[in-house]
Amino acid sequence: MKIRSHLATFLLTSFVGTLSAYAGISIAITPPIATAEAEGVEAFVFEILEVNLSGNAQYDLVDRKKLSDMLAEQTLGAAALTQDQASKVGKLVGAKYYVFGQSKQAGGRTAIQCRVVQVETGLLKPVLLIVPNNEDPMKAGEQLATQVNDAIAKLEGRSAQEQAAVEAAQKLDVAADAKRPVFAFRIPEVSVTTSANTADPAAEKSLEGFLQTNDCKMVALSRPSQSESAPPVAAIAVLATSQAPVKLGAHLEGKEHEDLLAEARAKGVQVIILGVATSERATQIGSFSAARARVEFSAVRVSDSRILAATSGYGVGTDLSNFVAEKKAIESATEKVQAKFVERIISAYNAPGA
Amino acid sequence: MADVLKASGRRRGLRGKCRRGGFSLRVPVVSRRSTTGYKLGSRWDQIGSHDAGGVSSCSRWLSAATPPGRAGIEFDTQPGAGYLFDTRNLAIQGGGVLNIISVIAIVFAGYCVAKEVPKIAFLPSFSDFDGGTPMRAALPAFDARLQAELLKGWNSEVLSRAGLSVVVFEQKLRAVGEPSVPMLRVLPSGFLVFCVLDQPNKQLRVYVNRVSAGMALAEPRMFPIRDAKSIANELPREVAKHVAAVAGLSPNDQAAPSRSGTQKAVVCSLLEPVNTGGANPNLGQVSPLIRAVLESLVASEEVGATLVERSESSKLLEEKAMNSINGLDSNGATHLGRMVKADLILIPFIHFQNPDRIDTDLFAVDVATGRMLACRSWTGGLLDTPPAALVRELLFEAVQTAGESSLSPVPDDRGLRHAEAGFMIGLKQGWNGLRQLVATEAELSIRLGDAALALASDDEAIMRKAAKTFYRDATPAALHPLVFEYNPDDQGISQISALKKSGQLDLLLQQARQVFELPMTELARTNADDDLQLLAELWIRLGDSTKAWSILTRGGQPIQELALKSPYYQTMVVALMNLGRYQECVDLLENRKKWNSLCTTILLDAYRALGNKQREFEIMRLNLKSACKTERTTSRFLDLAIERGEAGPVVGAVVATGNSWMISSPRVRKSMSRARVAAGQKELAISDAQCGLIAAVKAKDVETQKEMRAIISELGASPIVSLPAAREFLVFPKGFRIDLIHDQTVDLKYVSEVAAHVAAFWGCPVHVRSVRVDLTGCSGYQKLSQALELNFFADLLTHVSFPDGSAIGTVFLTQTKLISKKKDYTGDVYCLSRGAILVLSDHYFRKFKDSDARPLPLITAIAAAKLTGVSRMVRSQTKGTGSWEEVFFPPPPDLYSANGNLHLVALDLGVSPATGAMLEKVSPSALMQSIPEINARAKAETAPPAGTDLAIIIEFNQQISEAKPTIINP
Repeated sequence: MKIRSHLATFLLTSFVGTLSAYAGISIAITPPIATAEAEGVEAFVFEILEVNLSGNAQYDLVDRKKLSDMLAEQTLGAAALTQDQASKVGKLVGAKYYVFGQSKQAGGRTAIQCRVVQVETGLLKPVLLIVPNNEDPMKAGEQLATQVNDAIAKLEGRSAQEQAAVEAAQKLDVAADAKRPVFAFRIPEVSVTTSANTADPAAEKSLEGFLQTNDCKMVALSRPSQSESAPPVAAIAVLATSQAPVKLGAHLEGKEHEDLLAEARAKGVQVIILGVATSERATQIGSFSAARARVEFSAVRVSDSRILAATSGYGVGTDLSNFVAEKKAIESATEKVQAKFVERIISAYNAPGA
Repeated sequence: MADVLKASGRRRGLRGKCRRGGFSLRVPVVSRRSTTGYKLGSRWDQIGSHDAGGVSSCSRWLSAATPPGRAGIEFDTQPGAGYLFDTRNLAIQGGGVLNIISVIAIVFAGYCVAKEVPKIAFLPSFSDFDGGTPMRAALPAFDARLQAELLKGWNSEVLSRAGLSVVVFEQKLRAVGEPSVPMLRVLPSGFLVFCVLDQPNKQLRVYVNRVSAGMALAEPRMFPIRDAKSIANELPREVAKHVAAVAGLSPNDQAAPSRSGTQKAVVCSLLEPVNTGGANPNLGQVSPLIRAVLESLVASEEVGATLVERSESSKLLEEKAMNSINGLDSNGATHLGRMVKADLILIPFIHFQNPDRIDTDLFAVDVATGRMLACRSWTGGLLDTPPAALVRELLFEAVQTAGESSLSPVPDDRGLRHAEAGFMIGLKQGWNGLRQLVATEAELSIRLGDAALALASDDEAIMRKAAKTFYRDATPAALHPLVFEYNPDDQGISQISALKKSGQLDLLLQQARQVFELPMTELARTNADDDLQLLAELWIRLGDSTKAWSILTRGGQPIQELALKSPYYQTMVVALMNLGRYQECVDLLENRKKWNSLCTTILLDAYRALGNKQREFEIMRLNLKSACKTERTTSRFLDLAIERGEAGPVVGAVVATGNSWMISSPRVRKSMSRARVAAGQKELAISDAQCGLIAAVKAKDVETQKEMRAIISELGASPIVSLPAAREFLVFPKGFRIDLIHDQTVDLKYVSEVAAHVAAFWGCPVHVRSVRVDLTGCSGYQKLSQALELNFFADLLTHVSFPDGSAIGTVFLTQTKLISKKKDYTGDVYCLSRGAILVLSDHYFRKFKDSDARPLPLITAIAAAKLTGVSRMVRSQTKGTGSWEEVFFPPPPDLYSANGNLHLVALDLGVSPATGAMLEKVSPSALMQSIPEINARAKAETAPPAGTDLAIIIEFNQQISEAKPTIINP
């Protein structure tokens, strides 16, 4: 009863932290399975931790009891997933942090551990509290909550730094008065994975998104990602693979190439980005497929066919679907090279005497 | 100036070549066809038998030879498919033919150097006659220290065979994090070492196995054990010397690496402590605490490492999966490549004599290869903070060593990796003859499963085999929870209950999940029935039947359709039982109309849980083999029969169907006595109750004693104190004899005592002959468990020419361990008959040395006194004919000793009065006439021996014919 009244008081007086940059952080707590033998601080400390964290406006506590089962249905029978099941999964909020708790008694002391894990990176901050067995559970729970807060704050700080670096890498660094050409694309995509379908051009879409964000104009061509004629037979080893080389209709030559440029000129295109994106399944991690991709781009000035810049890069994508993973891999590869590539295009386009 | 090989048209067709033994390498033809700079790869020609390793070697060495930032060689070692070599980033400094030659020279030299340092890997020790002895408790310390000894004292590379699932996870993370790096693989070892603790013989058998294609178990070297302390303190050094001698290792004379200096923050993954100490009630409490304290230290400012979570990777993946389904992040938070990669994996090996003082050996393992890089050891109290300086040293040394290793990469060898994985899978069969506890088998299965799955992570067929071989033993569990209630006395179930109570079961299941979950999920990604079934079974055993059911029903497919799939339905039934959905389980099976014997047992339990005794009894009557398969089902069958007034026919059915050891068990005997009373079989009921009472007194089973006394009293009889000998009912004429042949593995005095007991029981002289036969040469002999496959050996013995004359039975006595590898029973046994020949090993009886008041010669004599010819005659004289309801055959439990539960039966060397009455009807001359017939029949049913087995038989015959018998008279 004493514990219960403490809990009620605590709920009323639990601190309201100032909202920080990491407001609305979702946390899943998995306390140890309560045993009949557990008593004192061991029996209540995680309950108090949970109450403490749930009273903190920064955090949203999420339940994870059913996630595993629903995901089993999803990943193993996506085609058969009912509307109801799909909507259940869709309503779940993703946890950004996991807090794995356990407590054990050793002699006259109780060791209480929380393993605070950032889901995205897998980084772990352990929190260990060793208290006497007769320690006041309220006090121990509050101490634990403070340390868990600190651990999350540290991991959030690191995360914010990394995010800032990623965002900075996606900004176009060109002179404010530099002229930006009108772009068009032709970047076919090929999957090396056996029986995989050729998909929409992810590389092209990624570049489009990037150029749009950076105020560049673009024009769609009639067949941006398909070859004009039957694909030429070419043995291509895109990445290391034991599989048979695949056919690819990626490159235009002769009349096909000239027709493409003619269409571009007619539509006011100044620079056309030609290239190829290739992907393959790389490995499997649990339910996740991992795919790798390589993109290669050349920027061709339409007026005189001069190549302004060329680049290539690798990317990786992971997803429950191999198809989507390959798309993500191409997107990732494009994201890695696009900023510098476009900077070089604009620079060359604006170069004196160019 | 760098010259890109691929871009140079004039070098098209250029070839380099190096050759060493069976290894040959050609630089590929390079061509270029692309308008956008897309480069075409080329094909390695496959020459010689070691190309896989060779190409890998060269690829890595070429990679290392290129300038930083330029190395990006991709390779693949699929045999038979040729090798695609991506030359996009391959650059050679300076250009020209000389440079190519120099690169090849580096490749060649590297290959040679890399071959020089032997790679040693250790598996956890196995244990025979497992139990909570100090010797057994010291075994984990031995395992850890042996590895540490090799790592520190000998010039070798020690490869970890613990925590490899995490190594593979790290390797995959690298592949998804950085697309231009090759997929790394766990290195195969050159020598795989493991030991078997033979407690009865106080020795340690050490197997140093050379890893190669088609590798076989090496001959063991025996190390005598003085006492428990010597296992942890002296043996590791002695065994390390032996391993070094076999593997050709030289003492490590290199200076210890510098222990000072600064380094960048190391990212570590700290795994669960390893302790393969078998059943240990303290482990569930101690292990998590040690890890908590250690984690806290490693992440502290004193040590300054960054930790990443790898024990709960699957939970993190689930979160990412959910985000992926929800489309919350296109390739951000869901991208596994964003996970921070560990530089090192830290594996603590713990061992303790008492829960307060714990020895820890902390190993740092290389994520790229699975090499052990460094080790530090300390002893301390449970919640004591480990020495920070030692841990810092460990990390520094490990990072330094890893850095040095990365400069001299070792080639992957797919063939060797798979050979090692296959060998480990084969060990599971080999350890069947070892008497190990459920906890020990779980620990071994987790460790071997972990290693085999990691070594074969690029081959789904081997992965599937490894998963199938190990997941079941790795996850100790009852078929469904009702078993704990219905069959609490079962040896396996009672062990699992104890593990559950101490918390060790949770620990084991957690470790098993970490090893099997991801690989088996990967295997199931194509939704093949077999793989889904396997994955669902894993989850049932891990205690999550809801998830298993989700997997089996594939997101809600109609159950009726899925239940038609065989054997898929079997797992569905087990899942339903674990979910407590008994009626659905019953409906599923009854709708199918056909099911296997396992499902019969499940169906019986389901009906029992539902309280439908009528249908339960009907199912039993219709499936007699299943009803009489185990003690608990037989006992239940008899109890239900009494309730339904059908005791008589059911007693007959049980006797006709059940085997003697099952009928002799106290549990069945109790039910049988009650059933006989109900059936009005007064004399037999008295006889059974008298036998049951004697057994219960010996077993100190007070409840059964009361029950047996009550039956005897109700029937107006008196209890008897001991059973009479067979000679009181069956008298053999002069000249009859029993032959007892031993192979000199048993002490002669001991044999004489056994013979004296047998002679006194039958009232017949026993002729003892001695032969010297090396049974280890038999093709049915297993080196790992040092056991002889009994069915094979008994067949073999039918081809021996035993002494002519009037022997009413022949017993071959040995101390060699005997095992059975039959489908319905795999494990150790002590006797088997073929015709009138009985093969008997007293190895098993030594188990009772400490727990049974009966002298060992008497126990052996009880088994030896089983004369198959007599039993057959009794059976043929009393067995009825007609339908099963009319068959009645009184079991003579006192004549049959029982495999597996001799200590429970607590038999006397005597017969019950009822059996005595039957013996009186046996004609000695008819018995004598039948012996050659049944021996000839047995011989005709076996294949003639060949090879070494034939040589053994010839030698056997020679010695038998020359051996002079020692005659032991009654």
